[in-house]
Amino acid sequence: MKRPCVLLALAALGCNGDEPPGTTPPTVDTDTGEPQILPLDSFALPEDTAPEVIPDLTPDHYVILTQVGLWNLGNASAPWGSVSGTLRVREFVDALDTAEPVYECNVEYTLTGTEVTPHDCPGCDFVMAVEHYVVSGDPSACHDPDVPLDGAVRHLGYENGAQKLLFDYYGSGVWLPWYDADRTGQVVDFEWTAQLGIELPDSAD
Amino acid sequence: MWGTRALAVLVVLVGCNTEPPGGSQIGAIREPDPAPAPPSDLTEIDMRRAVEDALALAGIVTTQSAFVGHLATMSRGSVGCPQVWTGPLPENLVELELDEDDNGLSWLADCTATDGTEFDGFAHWTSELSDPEAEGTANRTLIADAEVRAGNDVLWAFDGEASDTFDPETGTYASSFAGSITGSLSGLGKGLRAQNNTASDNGGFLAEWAADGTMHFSGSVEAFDGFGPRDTRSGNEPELEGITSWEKDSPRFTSVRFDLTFAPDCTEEPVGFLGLRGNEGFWFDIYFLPIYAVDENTAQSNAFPFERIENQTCDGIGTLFSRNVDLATLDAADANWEREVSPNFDAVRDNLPSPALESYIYTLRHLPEE
Repeated sequence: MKRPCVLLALAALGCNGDEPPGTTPPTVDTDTGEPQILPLDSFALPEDTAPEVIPDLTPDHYVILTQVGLWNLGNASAPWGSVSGTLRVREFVDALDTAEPVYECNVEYTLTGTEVTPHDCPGCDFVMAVEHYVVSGDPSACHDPDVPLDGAVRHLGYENGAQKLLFDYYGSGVWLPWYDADRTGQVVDFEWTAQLGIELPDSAD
Repeated sequence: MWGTRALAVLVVLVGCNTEPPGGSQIGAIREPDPAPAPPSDLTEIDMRRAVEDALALAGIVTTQSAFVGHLATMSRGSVGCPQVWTGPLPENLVELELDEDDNGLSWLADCTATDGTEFDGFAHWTSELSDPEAEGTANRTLIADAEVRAGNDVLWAFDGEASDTFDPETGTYASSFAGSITGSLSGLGKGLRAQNNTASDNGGFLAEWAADGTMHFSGSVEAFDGFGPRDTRSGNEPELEGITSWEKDSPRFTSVRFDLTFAPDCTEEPVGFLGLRGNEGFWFDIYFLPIYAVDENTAQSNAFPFERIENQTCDGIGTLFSRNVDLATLDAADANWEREVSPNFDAVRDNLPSPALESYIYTLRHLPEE
């Protein structure tokens, strides 16, 4: 009950009326190092609302991403010349009901392309410039942000030693392992799968 | 405890006439403000080097620095540790305002990877390379409150938000960084804390530069290692009295506040100022070309002493104030010292660490596999 009186007393001590400020500068600056804020454009920094302890949360749901494709090479031996083929991208949550499958995205492509010579892919046996045509489905619905859009042309190289297809990432010159791949004769099979945690709108606690 | 203190301060403020004398504001040089004494080593400090070190510091207060450690720690993860999520995280644990179409990735964990690396906290990030046929840019964002350790060694700890864009064709880079970062994989020594205090900058320290020589730095940085020349004082100086954390030969400065813009029509000298905070808590401000018209007489313009600076030409020369004291008299009295500072801006520009395009590339293919 006495606290307000104490505060008022402190308030009175804090005022110095019209007296000029002290003439002896402090020997120690009490500046905290925080920025000095001018009033007209000041900005309140956001409050850190993150919890002190983060649990090691196991997702209630996972999204499974699969990409499976096939190349038919144009020639019976190198140089391979051209390619045609298919790619199917499917993403679904948890497990797929084969009777009534529900996909996050289900995109089917046809592929056509020509061999790129010379190429700058280190380790690649050959490189194809592959155009992706969407036959069905909507790539923008996929969780993988790197699913090819309709009409996208990608430089993909086959490296027999690693059994990989490599992707010149958006023409950056950075070749990334993109698919596990296996060539048998004129046919290259390739695939990639991943699993990510996902928070569904109706599963929030 | 804090509630009582806050209330007390509030009562004091309400009870007093808070109007500053003569309309001056914090940081202003106006009578009847007292004239505090500059530190005893004022004329001994290599201010040119201090400013150049501060600008070098500004060049690494970037999203690039935050991402380097982030990606390095991700490469130490194993399947399920940290568990990576797509889209938003559980709202009851992490409040992140994300677009519905956000294709970013996140981890939220308290786990130990197979190599012993410990992940604690959360991180959300996006990275994107635009289609080069569209001549686009690379961009990325990072929001985290996370610490990654290997035993007692903190590898990377970041609490804050950062985003940047990079155009590899033009070399134009723009970054916003708000938060604190530490850890041996960050490449920043003991680390730093940075932010901004203006709404236009959205709370992040801004670092921008381009191949045409333009640069812009805005915000405040505290370098946990300090920066600038070594402190040559003995420790007996009056300004060091009562400062228990001071150490001889330590870096002379701890923090810096920037408001500097190099425009294309004058790449030799910026518009604005930078303020260096000494390790005793005193501020040293170097003013270059005026931000406001010197006769504008607004609250904002009156907060800066540009009208007291004689040199307002594009010649690369700034004018030093210490503790808001106009040092013209001291300059005139000491033939061996001058208050004007001429940093080598070209060297600063040449050493700005533009990111590599590869550092923007993090795809689902980079996640650990079985």
